[in-house]
Amino acid sequence: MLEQTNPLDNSSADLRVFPLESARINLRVPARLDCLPVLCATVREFCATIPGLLNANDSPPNRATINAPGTTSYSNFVYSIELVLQEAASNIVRHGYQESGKGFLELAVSLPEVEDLAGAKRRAIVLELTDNALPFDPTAQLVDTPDPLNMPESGYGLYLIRKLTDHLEYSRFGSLNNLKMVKYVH
Amino acid sequence: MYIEQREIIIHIGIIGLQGRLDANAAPALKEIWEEYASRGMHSLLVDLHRVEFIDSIGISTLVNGMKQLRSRGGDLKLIGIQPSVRSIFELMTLDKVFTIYESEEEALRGL
Repeated sequence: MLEQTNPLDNSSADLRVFPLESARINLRVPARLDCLPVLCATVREFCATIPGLLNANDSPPNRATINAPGTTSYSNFVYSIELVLQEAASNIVRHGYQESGKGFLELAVSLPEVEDLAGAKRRAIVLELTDNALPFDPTAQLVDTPDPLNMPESGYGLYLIRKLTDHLEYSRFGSLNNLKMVKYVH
Repeated sequence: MYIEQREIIIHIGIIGLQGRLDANAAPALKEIWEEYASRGMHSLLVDLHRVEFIDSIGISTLVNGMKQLRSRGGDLKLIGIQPSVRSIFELMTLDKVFTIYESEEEALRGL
């Protein structure tokens, strides 16, 4: 009889042979600002299960250090991913849904191998946000670099998304917006 | 987000923040800027040691407070930014806009 294993159960498995292609999380939450920390925590947890992602020395990742409140040991990579997700989701809630409290946000996180612009295969973390809010294409917006001498009080969100991702893709399917954000892992 | 307020010297306050400085926390912080303005406070030190995450709304809120205080001849200075948060500040060149101290002691010496 074949032994059945859950690929996401790494409690006893060797993390070095974690099947990266099968790593995927889907989560749907109400489109409210107070739900965004749940999305961010999900992505943080996802990153923490990937050996070698946080830091070359983290294998297996030290969850206690990563998640302990107040200790703040995010690697810059995980922080960037969380920030990109927060910015995109916050824009959808505030502008797309106009903070109506209605609607949903659906997040899909995966870790596929993708081709970069030069055609090389790269492991990447892919965040996909789907919603049924007003159409908004963040890839079509002009984004200025912040001017330190005339610091505006808003408009940093899209700048951060652009700077912290390697690829952005927006699609509209019927009444649904889909935003795909890709960041290469290595 | 947890907010701790202290007045260390007349007209100079210190605020310790803990948790996430994001769109959820921003309204409470803006109320504090207004409260300090109504009390005639000139300057604020904002301790970010225990802030694990700041998004663009949180950053905008800090910029808003800094502009308010500078327009009255004061300033809003930051203490103890975590390395990941600092990297975002640098990406946005905010490290050239804010005065940033490593510790409260260093900030007090700089007053």
